[in-house]
Amino acid sequence: MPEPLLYVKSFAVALITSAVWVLVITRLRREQTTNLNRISTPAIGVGMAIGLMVMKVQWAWPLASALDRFLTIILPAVICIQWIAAARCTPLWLTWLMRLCLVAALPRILLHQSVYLIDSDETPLWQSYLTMVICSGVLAVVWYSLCRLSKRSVESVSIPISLCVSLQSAGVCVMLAGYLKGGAVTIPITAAVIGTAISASVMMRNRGEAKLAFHSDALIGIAVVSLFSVLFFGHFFGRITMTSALAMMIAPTLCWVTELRGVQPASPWRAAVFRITTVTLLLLVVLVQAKRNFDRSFAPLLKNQEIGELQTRYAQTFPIELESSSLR
Amino acid sequence: MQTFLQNKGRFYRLIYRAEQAHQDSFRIAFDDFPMNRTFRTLLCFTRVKPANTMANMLRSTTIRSSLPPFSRKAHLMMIRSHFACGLTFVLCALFSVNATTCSAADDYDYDLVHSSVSFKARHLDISWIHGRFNEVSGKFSLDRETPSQSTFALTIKTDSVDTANAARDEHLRQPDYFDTKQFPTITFKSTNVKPIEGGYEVKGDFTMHGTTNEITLVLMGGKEHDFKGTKRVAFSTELSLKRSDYGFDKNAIGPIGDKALIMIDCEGVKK
Repeated sequence: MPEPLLYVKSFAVALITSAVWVLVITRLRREQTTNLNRISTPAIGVGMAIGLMVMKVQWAWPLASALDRFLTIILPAVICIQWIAAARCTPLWLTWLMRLCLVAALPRILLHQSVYLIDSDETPLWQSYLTMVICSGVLAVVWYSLCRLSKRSVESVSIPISLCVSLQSAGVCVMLAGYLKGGAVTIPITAAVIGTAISASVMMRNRGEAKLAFHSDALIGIAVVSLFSVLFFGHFFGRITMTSALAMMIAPTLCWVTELRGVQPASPWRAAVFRITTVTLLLLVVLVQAKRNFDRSFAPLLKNQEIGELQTRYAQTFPIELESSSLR
Repeated sequence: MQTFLQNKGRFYRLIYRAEQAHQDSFRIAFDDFPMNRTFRTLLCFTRVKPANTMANMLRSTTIRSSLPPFSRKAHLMMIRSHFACGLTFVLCALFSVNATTCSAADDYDYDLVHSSVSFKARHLDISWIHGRFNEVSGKFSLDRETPSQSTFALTIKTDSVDTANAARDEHLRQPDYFDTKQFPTITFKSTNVKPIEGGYEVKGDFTMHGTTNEITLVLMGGKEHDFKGTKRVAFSTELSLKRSDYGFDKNAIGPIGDKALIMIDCEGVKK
């Protein structure tokens, strides 16, 4: 059963931890040109880990499910890659080489030991590998386009925020499709990315640096890989439809609308609001569809469940009355 | 075999091929020369060079007269080969006798039509939810003389879960429960069988949700019935387990209790 209070607690803890981490480390360094990417990457990792601990997310060892592999292999891997990429001495080609390696391996890691990797009439092996290649391609395109956009933009908080909205919507969709644990893990990840993005932008303002654009690469990388992974296992192991998954994956690229001629808003903050609104609109459509599917398939079960819970409470409160009434 | 021996040229080709001591050519030779299964096993088992054995056996039994006169050394080799051949045949005979005495185990296939694997789990701690798995397969080998040599194996397809409610079945297939795409089967494989009064006590590895635990099943039954010339035997057992012992998320256990009962009634058809 979903536990909203636990989710709120996890969200708050992850957000505060990440934000505090960035603020404290930046203050301690007191350098003129602090590499915020280098600070924000571990901030997300720490915030996320504490948020997941608060949520009491467990994983099995040896790693059994796609979610276990996501939490223990993919997330640490992307954090490490982004941390290395954030170093000033790391050349761009090496950064993208590492990212592409992860992109290529990601679907295979998530599908490891599943029915999709067993050759059968239902899912031939070639079809599975073709799907994996296409999925990797989509992830690479989205990741590259968002990094490119962040370099073109004056402000860069809007892209991580758009990604967070997409990630949270993906989580809700996965939960509505019946995979509670898979959807719930997006809560601390989203919180950690938001906390880091906001605190980093505050620090940059205080320092008087006009541009934060180059510092959102780390946030984009972690958020986009998380979004892809959640949608991927939500579709292949849960019940998210391919259309919904694809729409949510592509949604953050709608941030490019502000780059179109004739749509360019006057100020950077207007552009940010415009981007987030555009992305949210598409996501709302997908969420409404997911809710409809939920009402159709799972709501009747929950209604019966509520009746059952009421009966339990009644039985606990008035045990004798219930017995006598049943005898009658 | 006679037809084969009539063709002398073909016979030499066979020996040549066999003397390559290469497994593939050896297999081809065997295909041309059908033999007793026990003998083949013996060849592999005793590590007798197949080429030599084959050549010796054929040379000694069939076409000695057609071969050129032998030297002393060749004669000694001939005697040795006779001895090896004789020993091989004695061992063959022994093995064949053994094989007939060891074949007390009867192999049975799981009869899906007359069997069922069902389960029930507590709901809200006040009632039971019943369900079953519609796709089950398995086989067992029953040795009544030495029951410890009996084996039992069962494979349940998790995707076939059926609780008479399509929405709930769909939910049960999700990763929060059975995770059928990741763990398509639930399996049981016996490791130790002990006869008890009215059945067998079977220890074995039970794998569910990617976790394997050793469990003990008390299989009651085992009575054989001959129905229209086909031997049938049936067992039934009940098994109680905790979902949390099999890697199910404790947080997701929710209104459906941790404990579940699995009832297995299986009928086997003799192969």
